[in-house]
Amino acid sequence: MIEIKNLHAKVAGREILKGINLNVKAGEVHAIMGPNGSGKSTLAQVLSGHPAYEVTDGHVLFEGQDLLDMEPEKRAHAGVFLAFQYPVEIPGVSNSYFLKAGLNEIRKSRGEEELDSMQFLKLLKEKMKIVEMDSSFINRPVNEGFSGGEKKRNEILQMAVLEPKLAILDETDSGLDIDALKIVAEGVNKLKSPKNATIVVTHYQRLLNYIVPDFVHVLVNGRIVKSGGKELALELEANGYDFIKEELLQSV
Amino acid sequence: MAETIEELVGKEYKYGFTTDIEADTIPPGLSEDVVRTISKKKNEPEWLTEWRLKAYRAWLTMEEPHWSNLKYPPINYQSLSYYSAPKQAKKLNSLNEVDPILLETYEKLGISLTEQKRLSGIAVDAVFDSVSVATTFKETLKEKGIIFCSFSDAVQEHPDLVKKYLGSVVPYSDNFFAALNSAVFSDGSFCYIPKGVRCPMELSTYFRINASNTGQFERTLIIADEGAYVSYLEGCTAPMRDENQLHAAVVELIALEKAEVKYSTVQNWYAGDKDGKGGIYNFVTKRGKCAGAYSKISWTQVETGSAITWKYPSVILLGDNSIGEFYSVAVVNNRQDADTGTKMQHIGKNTRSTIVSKGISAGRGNNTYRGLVNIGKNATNSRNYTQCDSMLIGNKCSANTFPYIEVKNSTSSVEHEASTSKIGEDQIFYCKQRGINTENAISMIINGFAKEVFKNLPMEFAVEAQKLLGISLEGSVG
Amino acid sequence: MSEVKNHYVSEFQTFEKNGANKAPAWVHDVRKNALSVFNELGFPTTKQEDWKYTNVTPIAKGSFKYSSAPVQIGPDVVKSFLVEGTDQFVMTFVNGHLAPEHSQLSGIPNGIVVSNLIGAYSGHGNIIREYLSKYVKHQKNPFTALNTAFINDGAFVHVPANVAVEKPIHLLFISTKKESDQIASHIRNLIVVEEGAKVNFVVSYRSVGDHTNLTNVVTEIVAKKNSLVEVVKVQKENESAFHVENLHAHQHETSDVRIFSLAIGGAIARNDMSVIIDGEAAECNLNGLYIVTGEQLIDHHTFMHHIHPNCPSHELFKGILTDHGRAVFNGKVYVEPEAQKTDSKQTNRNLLLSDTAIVDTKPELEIFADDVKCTHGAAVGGMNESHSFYLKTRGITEESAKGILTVGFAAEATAKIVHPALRHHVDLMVVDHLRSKLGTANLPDIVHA
Repeated sequence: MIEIKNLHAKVAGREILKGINLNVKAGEVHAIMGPNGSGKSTLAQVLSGHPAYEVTDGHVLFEGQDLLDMEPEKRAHAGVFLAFQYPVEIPGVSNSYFLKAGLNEIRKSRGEEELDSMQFLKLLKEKMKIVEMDSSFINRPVNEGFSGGEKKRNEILQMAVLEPKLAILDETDSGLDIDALKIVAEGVNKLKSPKNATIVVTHYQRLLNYIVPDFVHVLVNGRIVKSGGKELALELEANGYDFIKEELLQSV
Repeated sequence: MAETIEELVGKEYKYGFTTDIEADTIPPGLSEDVVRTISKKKNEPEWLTEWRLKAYRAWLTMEEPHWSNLKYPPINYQSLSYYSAPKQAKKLNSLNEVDPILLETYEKLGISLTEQKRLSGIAVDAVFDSVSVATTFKETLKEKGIIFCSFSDAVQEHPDLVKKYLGSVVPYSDNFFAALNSAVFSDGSFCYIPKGVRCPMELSTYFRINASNTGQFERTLIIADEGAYVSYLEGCTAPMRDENQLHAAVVELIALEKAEVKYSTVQNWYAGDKDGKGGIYNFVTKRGKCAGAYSKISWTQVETGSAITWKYPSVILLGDNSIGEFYSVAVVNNRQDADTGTKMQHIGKNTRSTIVSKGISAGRGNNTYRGLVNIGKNATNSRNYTQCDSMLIGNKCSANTFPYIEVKNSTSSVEHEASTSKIGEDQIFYCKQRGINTENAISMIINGFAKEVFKNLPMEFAVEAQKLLGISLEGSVG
Repeated sequence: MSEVKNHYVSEFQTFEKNGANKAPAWVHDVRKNALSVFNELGFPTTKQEDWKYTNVTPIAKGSFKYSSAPVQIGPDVVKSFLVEGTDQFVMTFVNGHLAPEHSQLSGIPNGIVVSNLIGAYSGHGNIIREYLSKYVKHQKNPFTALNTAFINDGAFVHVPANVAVEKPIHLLFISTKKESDQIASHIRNLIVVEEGAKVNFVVSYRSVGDHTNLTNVVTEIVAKKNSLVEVVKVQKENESAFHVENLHAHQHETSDVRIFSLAIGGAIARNDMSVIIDGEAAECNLNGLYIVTGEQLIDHHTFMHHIHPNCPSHELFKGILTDHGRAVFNGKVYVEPEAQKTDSKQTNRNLLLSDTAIVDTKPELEIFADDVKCTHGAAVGGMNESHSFYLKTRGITEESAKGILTVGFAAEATAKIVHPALRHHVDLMVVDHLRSKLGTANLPDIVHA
């Protein structure tokens, strides 16, 4: 589904990604783990096309298309979704308007009919059950006055509505208590299918108890230094990131 | 807490002594003849005499500005003497020829002019009343092609450079005080860093007003040619005198392409006594021009002295991608009155400016930040960030903020934040609970408040500035 | 300049002869005094600090005439200016004259006075005499002097102690064309809210037609102890109009005053909004939104004066600019030595949607008390990149994102209006205005958290 080759990127003149290689196939769940400042979130932002990040080398193919060449909204149309670590608040604009605007653009790009308000509302209410959201959220402004947990749930709701092929979850577990974490993870699991893929970016192993990855990659200093199965996450949890750094030092 | 604060206030100005030295002082009064006399005493070329006269004539047509928040009695410009110089041998060939009384004066101020005693890495130009008395490390700098000398010497030895750049940033007609300075300036420092040279040491001027009833009008001109770098320090003190003394300096900085000038000031002129008697009236025009692309000018000032301060070190951001910075700590205590800030004129594309101003008001002091950020129509993708914080100690003082923000294009962004606060009782309590006494807690909190500015000062200066801050506020916190 | 003054002097003589003599003698004295002040001051120039960015030459040059006779307008037009879906008391003025046929004042509970000024002199002369021109000084503001010289009519509202007015009171000022004359309406409003009373106002300034009129308003609000007053000003005169208002609120202890200014109309619109918090533990919220398009110039000058301890004040003014629009904001917070524990926050944010729009903003603080928390902030810039990125990752196009974020930007300001129906009224006007001015029909309606 997505092929990342030798990806380099910098922000504000500082190189953060120093050659990332990663292949994700449909149906797979990949976890990207790493210490703070290793470049995990940068990878998520770069894949979504944040304008502050400059790609200096490498390429990314998404279903055969050059992803890096596309505007952020075109990437969304193609099926890339980013669940933000810090979702933006948009006062005055309702959740439903916002989501409907996005969904209809995506449908338009696929040559599908746009949904009218009634159809959309029906769809939205169905999807809200997935993340156990109260229907009052429909008419609340986007993320404004939401608690941390509500914001994250809202991200997964958006994912449910937009039905991406590739979902990138950026630190979706941060700031969540255990109950919210479960709801969010269950939401993600319900949306999983053999046709879509998920990249979970996280610092802690905790989330991976609920969203079980097929592969775990450890990102240190802008490179993937170790890959393995889900047991790698447990190893990291037990030993911290230092043991990987030590291994790296020894191998030099 | 009250007693400590009262105790803190009583400290004396430690640089308030006078130096008993015979001086060549011209009689009070200002006229074309006086301007000519000054020029003649300095053996200046014709063009410079003419330039002074043009400035004088412009000055006659101008009115003293009164838009600031400052309150001071009218200044009688005819009662001042416009030239005073310690009598000494005309031309000095080495420091050994400097009058030992002067050397002693500077030793007392903590400025050693004897090179072997100096901490390495700082070259000093010492200005005593109207004239430069000594410049250290001249030879070392010469090897790199750096010119660092008194303004008078520069006029004699590098007339082309002086002629090219004098008034190119602050024209003689710029404002009332700049015009006055242009007419009667006596001396000051001159510095030229050639292309691609990184000045190996801090350059420094130490200004000292000694004579009574004189105005001090010095002129500083610093040029960093393409790719050059210089860090420049300025220190000032004056004796304690009952009458007010006028100081009207002009500083011009020019940074050509990819050049950087860093200008730091610790201003500690005599501030007057606690009833507001005496002290320096400090009316200064400081401006830098980022003339070339990717150039940078950075002003850092710690203003603790002077009875009246009127000072807005500014940057004209002409070159594309140029950077202007202004970091300021201004402290007023007793009856001090400060109106200070900056102007950032964004003209080139992608220009950036940062303003950090920290004002501390105590006693009956008035402290005003006045600033302008102007983003021109062609200054696309430009940015300014301004932070202006004030702290009040007691309720007989004031803190004012007057920021002007003018934006003329949509790709640029300006952000201004300001806050006013006091030293929180909970902060003091927290410190005390950890075993720190009130006095130290206050000093710690104030230094923390001003830290963002101090960190931009060269190490030695930063230490000095922190001490100064403590002294200036002594007895004010209660 | 003297020609301009002469125009107003002769206008004044005509005015005093016609119609204006219904006022009691003391009003005549106030007028004469104000005229001489205006004569001395003349119209302001950009050399004066308070008018540095706002050039009123076009106003000074216009020979605006006092209109003695009312002009007829249709009831549907008036209806379209009212607050949707809520009962309201309405008092309508056309070119500064009461239009009883367009007013709806029946059912006002006993004791509450909602009247035109002229009509109130006989029954409530004492109150008027006590407060008119008491707190608003015309010695320094030429427009206020001019208004005071031409004091004729406007709204007079008196809410007695401990009365809560259930429905919002709508003061509607319509400016319209009268033959070929350019009309000056010097509207004078006086609102006195007694101890413990509660009342909400919407004060609308609208045009019928595209003529060039001058609306020069002075509004004086007195909020007594423990009262609660909300005033929502809606200024949408036509884009040839000149609008000047000096609105002043005088707050007593524990009163709560909320003022909101929606400024979207006029060629030049100048709003002086000052509040004196003259009592302990009183709270003031002063907010606004301006949308500046075409060649408009919209100026807000606010002044928040803290005299006593323990008073919070909050100011949020937001501006959206496009085309050749020009906005001026000058906010001053002044804290007297006695006003300890003042908690004052002032924010001005401007969104520039074109490269030809200009913002001049000056948030000022003058603080004389040490135990205070005062902050102010100002920002000017284009669309927030990270916000528009968020929208784009959801598939929304650049153009739609711009529209959505602009609405969101505006909504943050309108959220400050407390009365739900008044807030909704402003929201509708804002989105409607943005739709027509930004050329994007597809904008969301505003919802609030």
